[in-house]
Amino acid sequence: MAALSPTDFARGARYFVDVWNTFRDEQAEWVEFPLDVAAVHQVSGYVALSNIPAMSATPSEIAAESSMLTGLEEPLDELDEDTATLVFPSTAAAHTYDFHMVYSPAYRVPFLLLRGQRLDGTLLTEEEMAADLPAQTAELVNDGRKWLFLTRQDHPYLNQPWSALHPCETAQMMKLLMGQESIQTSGENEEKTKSGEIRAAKYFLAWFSVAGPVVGLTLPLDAYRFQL
Amino acid sequence: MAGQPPAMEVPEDAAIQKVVWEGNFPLRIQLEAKEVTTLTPPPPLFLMAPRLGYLPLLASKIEPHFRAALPPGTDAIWFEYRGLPLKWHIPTGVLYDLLAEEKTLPWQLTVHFRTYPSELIPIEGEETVKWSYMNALKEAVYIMHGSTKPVMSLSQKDQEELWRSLAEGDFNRHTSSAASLGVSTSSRPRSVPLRLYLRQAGTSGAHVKKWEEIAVTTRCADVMDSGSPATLGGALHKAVPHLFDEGASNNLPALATELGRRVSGLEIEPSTSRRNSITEELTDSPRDTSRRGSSAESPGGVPSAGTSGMVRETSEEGSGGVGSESTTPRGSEAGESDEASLAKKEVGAEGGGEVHSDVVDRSFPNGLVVRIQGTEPRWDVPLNWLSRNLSHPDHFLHISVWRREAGQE
Repeated sequence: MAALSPTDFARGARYFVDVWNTFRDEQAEWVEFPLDVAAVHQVSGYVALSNIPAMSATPSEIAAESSMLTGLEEPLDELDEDTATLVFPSTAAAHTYDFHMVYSPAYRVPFLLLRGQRLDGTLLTEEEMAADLPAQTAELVNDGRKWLFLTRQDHPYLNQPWSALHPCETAQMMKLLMGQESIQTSGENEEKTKSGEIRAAKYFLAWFSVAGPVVGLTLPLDAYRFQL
Repeated sequence: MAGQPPAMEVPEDAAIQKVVWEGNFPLRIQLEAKEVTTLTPPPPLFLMAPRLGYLPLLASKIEPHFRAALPPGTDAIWFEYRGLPLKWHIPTGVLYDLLAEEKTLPWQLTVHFRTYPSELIPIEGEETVKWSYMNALKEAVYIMHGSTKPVMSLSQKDQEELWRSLAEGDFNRHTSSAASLGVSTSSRPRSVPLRLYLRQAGTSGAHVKKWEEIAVTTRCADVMDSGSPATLGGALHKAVPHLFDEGASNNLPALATELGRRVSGLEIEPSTSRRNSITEELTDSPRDTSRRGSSAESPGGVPSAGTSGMVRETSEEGSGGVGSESTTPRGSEAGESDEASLAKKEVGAEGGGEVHSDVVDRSFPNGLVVRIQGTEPRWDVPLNWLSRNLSHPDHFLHISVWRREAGQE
């Protein structure tokens, strides 16, 4: 099972926040739950990226994204600048987004929630959000598959409607990404060990490398050079 | 029903499921005063709401009644109970269990057709409700079987049938289309999907005013617990231990500890009981009247002793640990085809888990109120049994939990 335990989610997420804050300007925040809330949900917190200006993707940017993800053909130094500014204040940046990376106890994987706002704080409709999302994502949202892919659901901790990138295929995807490593879920002994730590961090980054770009969030390739 | 063979027949499960399915309760619906444009407000509407249904599915029955009084504009129907907008993606019966603490009937709701509140998931007709259901089903099936495949591989037609039969409240049709999920209800799941609705401490005296006062959380509960079948109490103790810990500050700390110890399977009392009624009461809904009449031996109501494989006679001298000879059950769960490696363990354990004395209070300690499908089951009911029989069509066992404050009731 390519699953992540709640503990490993917290470790991976904290590592992600460090990486993100090293490489990006907008600050990611690890929102720690108060103890009672943590007890109810058996998760200690979630990652919040707040007030990110809407991206407006062009085909070339999409191409840059996918080459960043899949191919390593291009030299790193050429890519750095571009990828780091994929999310940028555009003319349409009257829209800002909040992204939360939360834990799904059912699928035992991280998943992404997002919510778009206008400048006056009112919430964007799904259609407006689709227009802000990368073209490939918008395509999925607008065709018949939207219910399986981006769904309105209650934020598991805030109890208000957010849009969720549906986590039901994530475990399958992580199996592919993590290979053998995904099979070794960190057991009791490993919980505190270095290798468990590394696995959690790798898992989270690998997950983000796929889930992030779907909503226009990317890290420069350097961030994926794994050092722990 | 005369002349039927003694109970302990597997088909009883189906009978219980049918009763659960047919559960409904009366609503009294009035139009929000601000939306009344006529001189005299329209009279309230009374109707029966299926417990397993979702509020927006009632729209076609409600809207015509109020149409004439509505201001011009587009409709977006939503409901409110004592100032709290009701989340439509939570099944109607669960909303009632969670919010109507005194169980007053009919349940008095206010309907709105304008100014849809931002705390509710936007709704674009029945399709939205359907997908909310399908996604919940997928989640539950994943918890039970480790894959969403049974749901994802449904044909468009089967999927539609599964939904239509639920929307129309057709039990037989739903059961047969649920069978196309290929998920056998008799085989034991990996885990039991729980949807817990926890009203925060200190709010039980007052009505819920905001959704922030309620934590909704999803859990995968183990079917077995230290070799015994997991009980409701054990599962809750594991899922939300703080609810039980807080009891320590209450007057009955010992009971909480005791409960924790017992449900963890460490201690099993000698049995003096032969027949245990699982629930103290069934529901307030009219649907169980016939049922009560037919189960003479168990005034407690529906899931009565002997109607399922889970409650059965146990050895008189039953004592000691899990799996000891004295806990061998007299009957096994016919119809259950467990994996061979686990079957033996379970059979041995299932008997053991039920060896409890009647003198022990099986209600939840410290004023914990635990409601499932309108019942307040005892803590020692095996979780798997509850899951099989009291789950919603989304396969989740929806459980409302809060603490009754001292002096209440």
